Amino acid sequence: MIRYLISAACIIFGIVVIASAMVGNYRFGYVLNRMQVGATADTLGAFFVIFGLVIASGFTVISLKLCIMIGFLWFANPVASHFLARTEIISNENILDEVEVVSNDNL
Amino acid sequence: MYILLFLLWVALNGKLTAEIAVFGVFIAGGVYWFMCKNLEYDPKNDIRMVKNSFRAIVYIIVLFTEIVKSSIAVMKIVFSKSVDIQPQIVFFEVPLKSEFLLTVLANSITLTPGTITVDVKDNHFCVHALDYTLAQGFEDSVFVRLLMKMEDKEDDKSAV
Repeated sequence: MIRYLISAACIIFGIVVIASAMVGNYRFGYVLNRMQVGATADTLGAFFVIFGLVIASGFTVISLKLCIMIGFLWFANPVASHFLARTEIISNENILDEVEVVSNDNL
Repeated sequence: MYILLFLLWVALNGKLTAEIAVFGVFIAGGVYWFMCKNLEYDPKNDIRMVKNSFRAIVYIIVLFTEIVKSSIAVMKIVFSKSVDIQPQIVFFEVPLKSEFLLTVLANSITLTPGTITVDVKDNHFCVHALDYTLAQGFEDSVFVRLLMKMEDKEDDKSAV
């Protein structure tokens, strides 16, 4: 019983995080800012939903597979975001209207 | 690494019988051979991996707390009444040499909500941040310090 309450709490928290990412997607206009907000859903939201499922299924093979899923998501996600961000910055001509470039050295 | 591959095979099978174990030994061996031959994997990395495993676990815990902290910061920005953010692109360089650790750092920065690694060239990073508060202090962040420790250890070993 307590286990199900904990897992329900985890899943609900994950859903709240994903919902906030969704709200953020509508509140921001520019693509990079939207990606930043969406990243919360991909990392913390997905982690808490899957972690809640792990707790619900207990110490079984299914939870081991779910843990592997978390690992895979966390490895694959940055690569995709990185490519999207680089494509946007290379291809957008008016990039300086949206972001402020701060340079620490002479690159 | 071989043991990890074997454990992955058993985990994906779901149960451990003699038949599955025998198949697993051969399949894990085949994958390991393929990694060494075509993916430039070095059996020496195994020893390094075991020696650094404690630091890696610490790193994962730190990464998780950072993700939680910055997620909450981003959620605050989302639910604040007026969205007044100053997105920034920051350039900085870190004193790391190993390509693997640079990749780990770039992926950690992207994984943390609010910051995305746009480009990495040698040890120069180009990072986009949602707000200027999130863009400060990359050069001496926790990630860099932990990875520096790992690299120092590797250098000591190769010197010996």
